[in-house]
Amino acid sequence: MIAVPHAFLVDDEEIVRGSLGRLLRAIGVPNTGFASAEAFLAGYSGAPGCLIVDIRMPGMSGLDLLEELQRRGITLPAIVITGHTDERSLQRLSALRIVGLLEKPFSTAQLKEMLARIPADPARRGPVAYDGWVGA
Amino acid sequence: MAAVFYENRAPWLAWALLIFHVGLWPHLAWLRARRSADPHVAEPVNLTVDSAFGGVHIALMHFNLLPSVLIAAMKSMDKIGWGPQFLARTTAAMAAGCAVTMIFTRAAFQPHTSMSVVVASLPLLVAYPIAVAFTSYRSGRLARERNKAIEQTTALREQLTHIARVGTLGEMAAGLAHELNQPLAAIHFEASAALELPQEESAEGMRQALTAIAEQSLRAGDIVRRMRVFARRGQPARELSDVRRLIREVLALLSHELRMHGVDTSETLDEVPAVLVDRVELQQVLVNLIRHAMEAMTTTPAGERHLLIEAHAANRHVRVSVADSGEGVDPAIAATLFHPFQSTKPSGLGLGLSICQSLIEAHGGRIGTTARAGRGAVFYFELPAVPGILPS
Repeated sequence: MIAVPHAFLVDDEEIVRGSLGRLLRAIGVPNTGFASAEAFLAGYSGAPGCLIVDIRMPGMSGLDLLEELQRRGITLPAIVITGHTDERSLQRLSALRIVGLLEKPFSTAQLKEMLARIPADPARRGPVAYDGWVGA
Repeated sequence: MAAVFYENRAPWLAWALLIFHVGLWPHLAWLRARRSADPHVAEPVNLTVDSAFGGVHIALMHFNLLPSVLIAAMKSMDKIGWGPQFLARTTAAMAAGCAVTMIFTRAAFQPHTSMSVVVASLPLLVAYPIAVAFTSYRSGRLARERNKAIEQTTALREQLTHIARVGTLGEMAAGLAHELNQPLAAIHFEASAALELPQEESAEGMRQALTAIAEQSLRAGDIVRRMRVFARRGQPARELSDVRRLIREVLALLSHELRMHGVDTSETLDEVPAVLVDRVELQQVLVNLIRHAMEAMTTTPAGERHLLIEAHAANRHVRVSVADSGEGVDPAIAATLFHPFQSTKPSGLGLGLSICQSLIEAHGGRIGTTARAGRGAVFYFELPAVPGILPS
């Protein structure tokens, strides 16, 4: 069952942000969109929830954002979405603790399954163990 | 006659001959009148005048022939090849020239003079067609060879341009695929969201989703259309075009790459006259220049990568410039910048700018580069404006 209280959606593509936001809402996950990693860092208040981030973005990439969050000690469960993953990105990803990787296009079932991995208990909200790619 | 001359763009020599010819008849008539009118003129003098007439007569015949020969030679250069039709025409032109001369001279002089002159001219009458035939055959063959070489060069250049364009498209492929993925992902998410909606919201939600899906599939179609146009292979075709529209198409094609490179793009596009261009080739020039500008700014700090594209009318030309805020052009390589295989990049053949130059020059324009005030370089090209026509 999905227990995520809120999703923070970071994607530079407005149409993807909008449509994925509507899909999340339809499956019962309230969400907020951010047009860039910088905008998220500036606007994130530390509220519980889950980060859904695209890798490829102008300026600060999704990977840069995750590394920055790790550096700042913010342990927000993160789902990484991507259109295409190259080897270097995979290497960088494997050093990060993320819930999983979703390759676009992914099904609603895959998204639900990924969200369901995130525990409801805020106390257990810490780093979620990486357990393989989904949709890869 | 004038029409024939005009058609063949006869050189001044042919015109001079014609004028000389026309002027000669009154002069001869005047000489003849003087000879018969003066009974005191000594016989040797008359003989001299007669033989001079004979010489003038022969010369006249040639003057009548020469323009025909010139025309024939020029025709053969233009039309290439000499068949029976060409020989018949040349012969007819020369025969007509001879006949005209004979009719006029028989009226002016004694019959025996004319006949002897005709006999004396016979070898020349034979020599002329042979000379003409030989010259035109040689020039025809040269012209054929030259035309063939030009055709081959043009075909090779078109092939090279096409290969370079497909190569560029290949470099752009990753970006374009990503660009295409966005509307596809959006369509997928919209449809998925509509399917997940609870019963009571589904009617309105479904309508919204379908509207978004329709919009996004058009967007995907646009991306594919632009790619296909750019990869087109075929005969270049020039059309009256609006450079502003071509610039916007190219910016759409490159929007993703530009965004990923953190390039901030602005345009100042004036209302400019139409230009007669092959649209794909001009797009290729623009793509090359914009990507060149983009690559020049990779070492520029983020936030300072400004691309400015301008179009304005300048002195019966349309001038388009692409300005970057990169390192600028190294003066050491400025002179050879447009030469082929001059690349400073690790990847790339160094053909981009040289292809831009050959395409712009093939359109009767010119291309160049200047330093940008402050920082960076400006690459510009000018194309002849089609006067009085504002693009629709």
